[in-house]
Amino acid sequence: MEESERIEEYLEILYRMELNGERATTVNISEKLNVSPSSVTEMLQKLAERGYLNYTSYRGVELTEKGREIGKKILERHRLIEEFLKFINVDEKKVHDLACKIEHVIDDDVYRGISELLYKYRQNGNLILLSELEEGESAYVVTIHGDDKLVKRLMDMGFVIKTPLIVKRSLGKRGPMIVSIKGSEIAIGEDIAKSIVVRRG
Amino acid sequence: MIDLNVRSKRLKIALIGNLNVGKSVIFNFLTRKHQKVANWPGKTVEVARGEFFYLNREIEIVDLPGIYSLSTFSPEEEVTRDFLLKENPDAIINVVDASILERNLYLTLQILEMGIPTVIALNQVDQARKKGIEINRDILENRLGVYVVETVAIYGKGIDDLIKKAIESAEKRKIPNVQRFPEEIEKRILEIENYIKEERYSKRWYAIKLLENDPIIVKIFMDDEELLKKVKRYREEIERIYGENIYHIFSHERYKQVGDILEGVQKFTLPTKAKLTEVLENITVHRYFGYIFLVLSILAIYGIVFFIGSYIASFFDFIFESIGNWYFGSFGHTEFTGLLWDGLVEGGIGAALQIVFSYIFPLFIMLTILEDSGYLPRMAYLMDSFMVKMGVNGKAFLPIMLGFGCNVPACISCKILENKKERLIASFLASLVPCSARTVVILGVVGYFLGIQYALLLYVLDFIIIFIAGKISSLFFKEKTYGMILEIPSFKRPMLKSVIKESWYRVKSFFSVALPVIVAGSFIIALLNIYGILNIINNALEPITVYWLGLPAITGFLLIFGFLRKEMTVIMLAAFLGTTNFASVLTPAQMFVFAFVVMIYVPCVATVAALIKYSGWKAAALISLGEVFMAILLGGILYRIIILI
Repeated sequence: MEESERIEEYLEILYRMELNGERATTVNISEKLNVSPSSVTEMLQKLAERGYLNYTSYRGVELTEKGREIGKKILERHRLIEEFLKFINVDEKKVHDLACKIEHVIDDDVYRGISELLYKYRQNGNLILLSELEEGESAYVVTIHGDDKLVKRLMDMGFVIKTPLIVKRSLGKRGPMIVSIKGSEIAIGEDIAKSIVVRRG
Repeated sequence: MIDLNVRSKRLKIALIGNLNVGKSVIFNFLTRKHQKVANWPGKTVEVARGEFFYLNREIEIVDLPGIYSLSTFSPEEEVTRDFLLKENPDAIINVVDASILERNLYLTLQILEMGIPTVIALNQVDQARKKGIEINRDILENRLGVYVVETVAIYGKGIDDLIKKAIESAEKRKIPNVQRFPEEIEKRILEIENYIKEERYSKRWYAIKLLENDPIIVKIFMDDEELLKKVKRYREEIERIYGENIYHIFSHERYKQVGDILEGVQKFTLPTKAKLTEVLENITVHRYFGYIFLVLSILAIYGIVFFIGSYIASFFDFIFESIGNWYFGSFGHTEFTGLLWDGLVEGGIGAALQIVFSYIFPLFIMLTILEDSGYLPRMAYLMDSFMVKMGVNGKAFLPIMLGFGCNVPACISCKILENKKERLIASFLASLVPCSARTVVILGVVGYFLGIQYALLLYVLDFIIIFIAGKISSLFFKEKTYGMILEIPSFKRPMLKSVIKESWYRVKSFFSVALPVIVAGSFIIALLNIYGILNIINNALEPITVYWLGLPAITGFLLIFGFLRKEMTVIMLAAFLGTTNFASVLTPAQMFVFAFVVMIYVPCVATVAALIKYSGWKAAALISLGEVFMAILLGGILYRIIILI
């Protein structure tokens, strides 16, 4: 692996841990990346020198704004590519590892291209974003995009795959809606509705 | 049955459940304490404890903030998790909303996994029946292996039985049934269980939580690298089999378990909905009429409060005038009788009753009705798009509405927001909302002497200021605004008894704090006036009060004292003047500017204390100073505009 790729890989994992509320210590990171603690330490020092993170050997690390931005970008790419690989029916077992490799070599144009392609596909396959549904329409939950915290919260409130829902109320295309799901009514903001993929029906 | 011959025993019972299901209602019923109850999700943000005796047992009951799951982590959910991790309740009362059984049982199953004796309170069964849902309690009990008690907590129905069953379950250590996962998962859970050495809760629970990669549970087993490695391998194996992320798998499977448990438990018939409820449900969240209804209902609240308030106020006015005539007739006009009357009776108690009580009691009644009806979350939904422009989501409208009663609970309830930035902006905005004390000044001075339309104009101005302040403060933060996710409860008809009780409680706590300060303050101002100290303070503030704001010099002292309690400003003015007829000393323009400045110039001392506690002293100082500056600046401009007109 080239060094730039390794840097991105580290920043992605650190960003992921930050989202999950996990403490980023050398041991934790080495476990996640399957490398020795000593090489993690070395790499972390290098990242700190370049201003991607603040590093103290015993208290763990913290991403800087610059590091977080890259970590976030790579994670977004990773998720998109995973979705793409699933779409073209790549063996589920390989999806994650492949995505880890591809995420480093694509640029913004490729990213946009893939996401537009997936968007068109979703529309054809009756897959649309919840935010695009009109008042009174019903649909099934297909998947949720977003950070782990959001995904968990929504699933706990009943937005589980294959669950039917009805848009009871909507304040228009750009606004919140009230969704009836699993017997309860939940108001969700526009941003949240955009992160939920549903199938009409 | 429970053992009746037991000699004093201590039991700890925790109330756990989804948001807005009635945990605090049960808590209040049992402890005779006064936890906040109303009809919107997120009222309880901190642990409340109470004790009561029951059949020779000393029972500690703990009311916990509502949660949707044991594995998510927003601030108020952390409180509940922390409690479970640090304290070992003898039994759990899991309160569920009978009309949203499926979603509620999702949490129930997670609680049962812990292996603690649990009783289920099937609450609001009356509401469920109205919605056409009939629940077969016996099947549910058998499948879960715990007692299920039907309750209607607001009427205290079933609570006695509930607590008996909780005691019995705790003392006989009645352990719930285990709900199995599919073979591929179950096998691995059993495998991990063998390595768990923790004993507070069931080994199965720790095993499941480890598999779920729950950061807090993983932390407990931090030192056991062997175990964590094994768990990681199993987790990855499961993820590979299902082709999904682990918590997708678990929530999916848990909902499947819920589905199996509910098989044949619920019978649905047509709901019997009152016509009014249906109309309200449609109109309150309508994309156009919803906003009209919102504005009208806020106007109506203040219209009614003003109408009733001024009626009561003139009644007190008459009483005190009559007594005053008799008093001075019998004892004559001397410096001493004057001080006693102006400072203590008319200025202190009289003003407190006439100005404060007259308006505050009706206001609390109206606000309690609003909170109990279930309208607040619908307001939040309507306001979401506006709130997003201010860097917060619609949920922040809840603290803002609570601010109309008192800014202190409003600042506390900002805890329901997802991140620090949103909590900070929301508490800033909530501190600008005219609370009941400011309402006294606005309605009692501007409304009473100038007319209700001018009072309402002040409210409109305040909302414009809030919007602009929110917009500006959102520019200081880079963080993304977290989207709104807010459960909308059913409409409920507020119960007269509980509305009066709640309002009376609020008036009582208002007066128990306010009255001593009011009486002391009124007395002090009358005293300082006699010895001329008042003028020194007032003269020092003259450049601001007289020259910039165009107010009489006395307001300098009033504004300083008003930091303690904002209604003090008018009460002390009354004490200083020896009358509540403000029209005799203030011009209409001065009244308007005075009320405006009082409305926004600084949060009162109690609010500042709440801000320091929940947002830190830096934010509190910034908000307070910012508001003083804003009030002086805008007040002066307002004065000049009014003069021009």
